Amino acid sequence: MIRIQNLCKVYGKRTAVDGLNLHIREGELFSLLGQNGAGKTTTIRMLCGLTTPTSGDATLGGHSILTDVEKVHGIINVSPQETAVSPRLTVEENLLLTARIYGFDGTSARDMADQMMARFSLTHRRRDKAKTLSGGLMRKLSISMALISQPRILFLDEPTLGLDVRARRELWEMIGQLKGSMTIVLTTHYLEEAEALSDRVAILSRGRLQALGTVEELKRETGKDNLEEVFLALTEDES
Amino acid sequence: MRTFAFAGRNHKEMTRDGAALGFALGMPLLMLVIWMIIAKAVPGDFMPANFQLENYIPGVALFGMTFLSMFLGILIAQDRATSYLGRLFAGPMRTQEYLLGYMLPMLPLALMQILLVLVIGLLIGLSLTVGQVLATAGLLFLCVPMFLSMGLFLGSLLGDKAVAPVSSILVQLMALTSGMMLDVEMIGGGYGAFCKALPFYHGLRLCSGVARGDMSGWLSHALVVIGYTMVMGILALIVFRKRQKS
Repeated sequence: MIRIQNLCKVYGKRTAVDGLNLHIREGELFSLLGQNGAGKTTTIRMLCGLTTPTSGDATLGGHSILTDVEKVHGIINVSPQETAVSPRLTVEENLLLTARIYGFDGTSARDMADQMMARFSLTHRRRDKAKTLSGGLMRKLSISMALISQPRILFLDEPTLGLDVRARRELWEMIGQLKGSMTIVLTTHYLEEAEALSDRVAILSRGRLQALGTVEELKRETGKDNLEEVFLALTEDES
Repeated sequence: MRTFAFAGRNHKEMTRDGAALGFALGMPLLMLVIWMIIAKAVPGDFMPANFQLENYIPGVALFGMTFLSMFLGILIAQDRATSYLGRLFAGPMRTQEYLLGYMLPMLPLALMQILLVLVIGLLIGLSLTVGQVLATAGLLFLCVPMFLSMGLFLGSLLGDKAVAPVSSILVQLMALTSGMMLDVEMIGGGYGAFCKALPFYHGLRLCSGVARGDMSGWLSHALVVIGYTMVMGILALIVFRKRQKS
């Protein structure tokens, strides 16, 4: 579903992503892990066609991010790191707008919005402006806006950042329910989140791929008991 | 359809911000109150040419448009700052659809502003026939895209903290160089040349022509306004496109 070939991004003298090669399978929930500045967000931005690679290429559903970015935009959606909703629009209006932008007619957009609100327990707040929602509800809205277009590939950039434990667990459950229905690329700093949700993980360090595999494979390879220990061992020289 | 959906969103974002809407309609009204105070203190025969209602009322309408320009710039810069635009950039909309979507909801606001100022102008003594009111409103409306393209450019170029202060310079420039607050012809010299290099003087000469009964030079004034509109529009397109892909 996603093939990344020698992807590089250089900003001046700093190399943010350095020769990344990856293959993410269809329907997989794939986590990109790394410390701050490891190149996770830059990689996602390049895969979404929002940042031009310095060299290399990637194909999403067979479409190149260099030559076919409009087709790439037709099959992906993204929930950015910061909550990105339209603050003075209601929950329902935010969803309807996203559906209309992705080409749904009025009736289909309303149906999809109803489904999303029911799925993310937002129905009771449908007429409330987005800016009045709590952090957790706003994040749910942000993710449901990414899902309403029924993307084949969903990018979740730090979906639970800044949420309390309960809201985070609730979102894990919802993300878990999506597994298999679409390809999901997740970036997170919460290693227990990656461990709980991912089919496979990739650990980036200074823009380079340090490790790739299932959590169990990485534990076996490094002889560590949990993903946090694996992560610390593999990114040791970075700190 | 995408453009109209996005325009609808921008319309709601702006009209639900009571402060912004109040400012957009309130500032031109404040300028009219200032005129009434001046008119009370200065006998009609001694009123400077720039403060004659035939010149001042179209000037106030153009002045009001600078606030629309500011609000448009702020809306775009805020969307960029909150990464809302970032998520939309990963979607199917094209650059021109974004720019049109930002501009369209400003048009009814601009029309409302123009009509409000003209109606109040008539109430306080501006003497125009219905045809002249409609012609003046039409000329004023022709200037709207220029102010909106300035807003698009500033909002695309500047951060959310910088766009309001820089836009307020635009507001001051409009007031001071258009011939609304100061008589450009009377001052002349380098100041006059500076005013004539900017589009606001030409915008006011064009829009006040019908009321003043002097449409001489309208084509050259219109060409300056159209030229600035095109240049600012193209710049906005280039900068916005650059923001879409950094």
